[in-house]
Formats: sequence, C-alpha cells, structure tokens
Amino acid sequence: MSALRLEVTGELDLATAPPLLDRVRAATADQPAAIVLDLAGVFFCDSSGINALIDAQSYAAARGIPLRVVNAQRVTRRALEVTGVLPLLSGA
Amino acid sequence: MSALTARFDVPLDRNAPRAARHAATAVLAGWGFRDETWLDTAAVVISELVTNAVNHGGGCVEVRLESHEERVTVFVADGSSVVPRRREPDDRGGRGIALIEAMASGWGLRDHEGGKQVWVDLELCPGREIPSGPQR
Repeated sequence: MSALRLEVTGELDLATAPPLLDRVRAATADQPAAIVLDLAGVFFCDSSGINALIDAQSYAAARGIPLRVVNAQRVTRRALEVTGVLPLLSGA
Repeated sequence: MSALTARFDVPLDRNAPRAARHAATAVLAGWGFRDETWLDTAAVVISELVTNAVNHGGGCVEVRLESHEERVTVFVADGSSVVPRRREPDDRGGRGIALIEAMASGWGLRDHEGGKQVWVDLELCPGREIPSGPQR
C-alpha cells in the first residue's frame, strides 16, 4: 500500500489550522498505510500552523498511521527549522 | 530620512493574524522594505503577536509600525495584561516566542492603557530602496 499524499496550499495560521486538521482526520478514516503532507504550495506558516502539523502527526500516529511533511519552502521551512520540529515532521 | 509611522486596529478573531500581517507588509513594502525574505519574516512576527492577542485578549488589537532610518519596530497592543511567556520549547505556546526570538533582533513589553503592548525590533532589511523625495 502506498502513502496517501495530501497537497496543502496557501497560508497556515490561526484561521487555516482547524481545516487542515479536519482534512487529516478525514484522511485517516480510510486507514492509509501512511500520509504525506506536501507543503510545496504553502507560502506562510506561523506557530499556529506548526502546532497544527504536530497535532496532525500525533493524531495519525495514534491510529497507527505515520505522517510526514515534505517540501516546506522558504519561510515555512525556516519556521520549522528554528522551532526545532523539522526533523520530527520530516520523519527523519 | 525621518521617522515613518502607521497604525491600524484589527478586530480580534481567527482572521486577525492574516489581516494584520497582510496590512503591515503592504505598508512596509510601501516604505521601501521590499526584500521578500525580510517581509516574510516580518509577517511571521506580526502574525505571532496578533495570534497571542487573539488567544489572550479581547476586542481589538492595535498594530503600530515605526521606521527610524533603517530600523523597523512593530508594536501590538491589546486590552489584556496576560504576558507571553517563554515555556518549554516543545510546548505549544513556546513556539511563538521561539519564532519571534529567532526572527527579530529584540522584543519587550510595556503597560499600555490598562492592557499591554509588545514591541519587536525587526532585523535590518537588506537592500532597502529608500523612496526619494521630489526632485528639486
């Protein structure tokens, strides 16, 4: 079974964190072997966005589904790096 | 170049961080701060400050931008006296402070009309195009 890839676009913040979590919760219902969150289309991420990514990973992990984040760009990547969560979210 | 200032109020709801950072970066770009990476960084700082106000404050948040020569300071005032605190790095609330500390050159707090005001000095913007005055 292959990983389910979810493309995330736009800005990750206080307003868009809840819909992202809803999307991941819905995706876990089908019990994919793994989930990959592709952030190539995300051009902004603050701590609300980071918390949502961490929560999404924890939620999936609690259901036995590994979730990892790929393709974080520019300021999103920098935000994940300086808060020290990039290795965790990348599944490294 | 003398000081430049801008201030605006944003109603505190889930959309406030987005509204505030978009308005602020538009103003900063108009002042000649056009480096994209720098503007992205400013947007994160402003978003964090306003998110903190949404989570702890009520009513409106006041955003103020000041530029003195090359220096830009962001002020965000809300009606709450709850102070942002640095907690454990793996703690949710601690990530906002960690981002501000990593992306700005300094920050602090002061009392402001019964609530608090957080100020953040942004890093210097590379390659700023200073708008020139009318030709004489």
